[in-house]
Amino acid sequence: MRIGIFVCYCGSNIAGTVDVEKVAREVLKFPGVVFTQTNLYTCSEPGQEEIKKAVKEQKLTRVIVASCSPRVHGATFMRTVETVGLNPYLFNMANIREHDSWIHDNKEEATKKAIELIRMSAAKVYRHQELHPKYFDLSKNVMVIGGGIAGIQAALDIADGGRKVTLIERESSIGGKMAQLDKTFPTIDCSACILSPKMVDVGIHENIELLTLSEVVKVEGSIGNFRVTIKKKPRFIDEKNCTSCGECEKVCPVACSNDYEEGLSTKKAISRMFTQAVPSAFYINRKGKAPCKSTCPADVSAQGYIALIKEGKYLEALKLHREENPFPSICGRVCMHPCESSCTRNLVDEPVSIMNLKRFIADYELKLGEIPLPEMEEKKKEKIAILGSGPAGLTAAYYLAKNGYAVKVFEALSVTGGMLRVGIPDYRLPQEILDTEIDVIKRMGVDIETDHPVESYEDVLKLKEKDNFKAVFMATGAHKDLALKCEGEDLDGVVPGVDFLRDAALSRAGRIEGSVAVIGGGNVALDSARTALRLGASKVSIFYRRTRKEMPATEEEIDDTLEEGIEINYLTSPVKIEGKDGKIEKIILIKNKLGEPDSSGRRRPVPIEESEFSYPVDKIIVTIGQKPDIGYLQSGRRTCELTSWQTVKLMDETILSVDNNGIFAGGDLVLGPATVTEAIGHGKLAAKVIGRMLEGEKLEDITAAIKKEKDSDIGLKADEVFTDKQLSSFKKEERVKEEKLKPAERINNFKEPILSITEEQAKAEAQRCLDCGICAECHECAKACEANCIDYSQTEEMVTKDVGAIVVATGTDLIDTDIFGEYGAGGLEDVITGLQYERLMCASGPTSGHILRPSDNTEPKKIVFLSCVGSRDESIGKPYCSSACCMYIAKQSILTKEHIPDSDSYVFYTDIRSPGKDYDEFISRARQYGTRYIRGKVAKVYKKGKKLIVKGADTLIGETVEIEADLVVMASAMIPSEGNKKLAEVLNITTGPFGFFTESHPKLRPVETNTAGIFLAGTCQSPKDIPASVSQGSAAASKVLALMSKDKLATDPIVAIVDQTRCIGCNKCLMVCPFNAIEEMDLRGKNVVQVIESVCKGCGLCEATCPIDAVSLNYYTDEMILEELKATSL
Amino acid sequence: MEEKENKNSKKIAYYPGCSLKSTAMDFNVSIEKVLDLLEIEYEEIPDWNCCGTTPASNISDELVATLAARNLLLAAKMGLKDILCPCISCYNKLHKASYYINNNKGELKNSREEKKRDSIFKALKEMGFDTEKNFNIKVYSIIEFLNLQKELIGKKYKELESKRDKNSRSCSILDSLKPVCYYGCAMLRPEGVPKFDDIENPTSMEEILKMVDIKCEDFQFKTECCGAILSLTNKDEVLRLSGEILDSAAMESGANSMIVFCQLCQQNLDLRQTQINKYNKTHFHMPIIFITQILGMALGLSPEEVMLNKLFVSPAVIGKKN
Repeated sequence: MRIGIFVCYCGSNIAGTVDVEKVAREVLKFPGVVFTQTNLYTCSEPGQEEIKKAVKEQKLTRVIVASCSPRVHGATFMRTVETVGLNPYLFNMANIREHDSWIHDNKEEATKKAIELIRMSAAKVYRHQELHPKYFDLSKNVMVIGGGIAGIQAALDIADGGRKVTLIERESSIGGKMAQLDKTFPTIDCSACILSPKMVDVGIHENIELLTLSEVVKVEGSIGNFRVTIKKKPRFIDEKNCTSCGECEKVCPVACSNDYEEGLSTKKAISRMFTQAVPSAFYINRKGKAPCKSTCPADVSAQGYIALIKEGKYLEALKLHREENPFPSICGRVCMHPCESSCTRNLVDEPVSIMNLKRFIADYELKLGEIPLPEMEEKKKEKIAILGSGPAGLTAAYYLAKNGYAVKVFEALSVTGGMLRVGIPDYRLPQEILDTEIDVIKRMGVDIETDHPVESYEDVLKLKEKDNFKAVFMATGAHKDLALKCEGEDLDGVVPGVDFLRDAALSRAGRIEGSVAVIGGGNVALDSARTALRLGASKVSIFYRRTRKEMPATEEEIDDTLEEGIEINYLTSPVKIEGKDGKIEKIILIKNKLGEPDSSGRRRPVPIEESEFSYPVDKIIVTIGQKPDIGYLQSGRRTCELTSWQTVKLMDETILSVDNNGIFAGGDLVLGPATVTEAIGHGKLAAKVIGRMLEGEKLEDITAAIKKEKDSDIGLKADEVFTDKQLSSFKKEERVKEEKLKPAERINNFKEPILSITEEQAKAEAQRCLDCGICAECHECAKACEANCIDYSQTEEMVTKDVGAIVVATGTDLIDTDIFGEYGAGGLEDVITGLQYERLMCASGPTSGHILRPSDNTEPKKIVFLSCVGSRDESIGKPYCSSACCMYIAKQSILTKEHIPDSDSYVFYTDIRSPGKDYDEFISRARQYGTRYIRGKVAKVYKKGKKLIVKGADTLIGETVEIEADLVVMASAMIPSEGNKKLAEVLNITTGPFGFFTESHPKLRPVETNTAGIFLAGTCQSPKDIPASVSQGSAAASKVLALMSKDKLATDPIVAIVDQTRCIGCNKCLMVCPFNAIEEMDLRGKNVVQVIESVCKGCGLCEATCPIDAVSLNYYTDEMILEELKATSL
Repeated sequence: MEEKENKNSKKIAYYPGCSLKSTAMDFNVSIEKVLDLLEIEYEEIPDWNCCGTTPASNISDELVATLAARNLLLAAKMGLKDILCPCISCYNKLHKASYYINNNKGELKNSREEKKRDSIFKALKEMGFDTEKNFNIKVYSIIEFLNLQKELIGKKYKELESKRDKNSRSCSILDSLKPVCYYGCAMLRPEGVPKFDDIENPTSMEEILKMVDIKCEDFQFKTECCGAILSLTNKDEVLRLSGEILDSAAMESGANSMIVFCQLCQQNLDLRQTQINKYNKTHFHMPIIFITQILGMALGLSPEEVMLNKLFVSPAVIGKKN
């Protein structure tokens, strides 16, 4: 061991307090020390030469320099000894400046301390061992996150340096905040003019891959080898082939808020962010499935056809409707409209009258003549049998025929339509309406055979086995009434509701004399009651066991029934029916009260004791529910399996299959008594499944595909679509009221009492739609697109990229000024943000560059600018300066004067901050333009007539100021971009107290983070203006290129090492490591950890944490530190 | 005095303060009636004294706090811990005193406060109060209190409505009312202590009134000072400030009435309205009505029962106009 010690004077820095020569003499006595020397400045070139000379001549094996902190010159001296062949880790430094001479003044004591410090250092260096770095390959590709000006600059510089760059942008175009600006200070050149060429360069640069609508969700690995996972949202447009012709935008019926214009104008659901957008492809703004569509059992896009009604495209609207549901006329009359119950408009006033709109377009088409047939596919040879011509059967027939299949429908009754015809009275659904829509199906080539009941399940199977039908869809409905199960039910004059309605529909009912009682509370009850009234009954009363609230019938229907003079008696149940000579005379009923809720969630009726009463009656119609007539499925050798509800049991509910051999069932036969639209939904599903099956797809694959389709579709919920603030901003508009015949005009006939709304009413009603899903899925754009670029099937995808370095340039957001009620923000239209004012000044903005105030589109003459709105405001936890506002307010005031020469601008400021090049001159220019600067804050802005009164204080003269302004512009604070926190977690970088990303060193490493290989640029690090953002973009790029210039990266050998034979796999180190540098591994079946040397920073946390001393830190091992301690205690 | 254990935790102590017993007796009456309608049990603190505002504050801070604190301990003696204090000035004093009473020795912010607490408790002890126990007294302003009873108000109102013919209320004034809510400057003072509403744009009154189907207009001067405190020293300023409030309510909000809960604002804007009009050369006729008067009428009381006839600017005109 040959230790050499070099004691430094550091001019008088050390020698002023420490007797350097004495120290040099003393330390020579330490064990192993063979050489000492003093130098005036050891770090100078001659000083370093002395070290080299001594190492060579004295054959030194260890070197100690006693001087300053190793943070200052440790690396310098390590390089020095390395040049003469000594391993740099055999060098040690004793800090006798920061730790000694600078903090003491007693020379004698300080000298003593210096000797002690060197004694410790010598004891430690004695234990030093050679350490060697490891080298690893690095990916030369780079990722830039954020496509604002900083990200663009960084990406271009790196790409020009020859490296492949992936640029990730959250929006549909790059450009960021700068793209929204009008002119830029201090040169007043047009923002777009200097930015767009750079954006175009990004778009065409061979080294740049641009991923828009994308977000980083996961980052693994470390410097040199990051693996980044990106979530790419669908654009619904083929980005490469879109020619940006704009034809789609012209036909799109949906307008939505334009974020690029800061909400000052609207844009279409299919649009580009702005004309110079890169990529130039359009983008469909689709939030998800609107609640009306997602609650519709037939999946009809109500928002879609309503959007088309707005535009007067009624036939297109019908065509869209028929893509999902072939019966607009029928559903416009009898649908239970869950769409209206789920309509988001419920949260504003009343739901959009969707049914009336549907009926309007259907009636509109009927007036034009015969309903046109849909586009049919080429005829196919396969035959399909359908049992039942109700809504489920007919819908299946429609879509199968459309698909080209030969369809045969077997109907047991003498008429077509099933429950639509024999269950719903004429006044609700006129037979001729039903006929016209069934006629379409017949014209499509579907053969409907009436009076053809199927007798047994055997016959059903035979259709397939013998008659060569490839599939059978059973949809025979629920036509059997549930029995009342009370005494006297078999008396003459007691009829089941369905039978009664069927007879009425087939004109077999005849006139009714006397008083009628209807038992039940569903639509069938009301239909029966109103039919009985129309057939001549003198008095009709409904008896229902619960209250109106629990009635399953629709509200409108109940109102109409009451209007017609029919009594509804709530909370009554029949006990028995009494008669004479087999004919009824009266019914005995009992009163109920409501008890606990039952399985349907409705409260159970509980009879009140001794509350029985009798009611004289001539006829009783029982309508307490229906069930499928399944007799035919149970007779014969082979039978069909049933559920406990007496409905057909499906093998697979997703695809409605009864067996694996092509028998399917749907509608009421499966659901029990349900709605028309549910039946239509089933019919459509059956047609889809049968079609795919016949094309050769396996049933289980179809199930999987349908399940996946359902899962990927985001169904929006009404209360999640808009924020409370947005909801309160919608104006209340009255819902359309349809015209109705007066009760007297309707109770004696079967005419339709509800009239179609007018075209004007329809258009106005359609305007009430809030466009929840934004894109209404009306498919008009797809028709208009000549390049065939519209692709609704696009879904979110995950992309992974391997990169060596990452530049974060995610920018900032602006504070939501609505919290500043004192400025009238959010309430007063003419109090706007600085960015909104940019748009108002910009030639391509919503006012084409004329400054017009939002409330009345007049030119403001007096404009007040408020600086520091949210910035430098301790009360909201944002004490920082937003840095760019003073300058852009000056710019805006200058431009205002140029736009409106007779205008006056006032600026309330805290301090004017203009320290950049040509900046203060720019402020002087604003003053020359007549801008009046008032130092102070504004206390209140309120409206008085057409003016805004701005009350504030001028703190320089100590008086209050009141300005009658036309427009108030707020310089709102820059705040960290939404998602910064999440991104920080993903990237393992830190954010400061206000949420901006933290740089490695505020002065010396401004664009690096503490995680190696990740760099920062622009406002994501702190608020700054364009020149500063661009500088940082370039700075980050140069850092990245320097990194990429290396073929291999070296690890710092001062890392933790794990003695795996001792490791017990407790994983405590893994939990404390701030750099994710420790990973689990398997050592011959034992769970242990290992350190990833390229990631480890040598912080030593793991070493201190390890309960069994299995981890040690190179260069600072326990032995070395113990030796140091032992040396001092000598 | 024997301390009562009050089992009914919902019962509240009522501290009216001096002005509700004199100039603002209409406020007092309407509050008591509304509490009765809502079936809220309350009891006026027996032998209550001045809250310690204006006169005492000229003498010493400790005197103010001691006077206020005595009222709190009287309530505690009743076995009650919730005090309803409608006068906003009293509320301020009582609320501050509750800070000293509720916090134990050593729990206050600094030695100055500790000293003050000691002197308050010394005085109270001399008056014969038990000062050793832990107190947990909460003082409610009328709006904070009604805000908590919102659902109850809505329920009572609905019960009443269901019994009534749809198109008529008991009182025609309510149907023609187009009011703004004026909160005055003091509701959320001391700042940061009562936190139940937004300090710049409070909405509690609107929300309470929504429960009885009264829709209020937006108002830009909800929390501006009416100037009442300067009544004696700078009358012109009072007239100017109050004028601005009336102007914004009538001209910007298009209101025909103003609903308030501070009897000082009420008195200032109602009693002085002729002076205000004269000073500002305006002709406003803006009835200034207490929220409890409105609630009382909505819950079925007659205008006379809530002493609407006590107002100087008569609301009768509104009823007639429409």
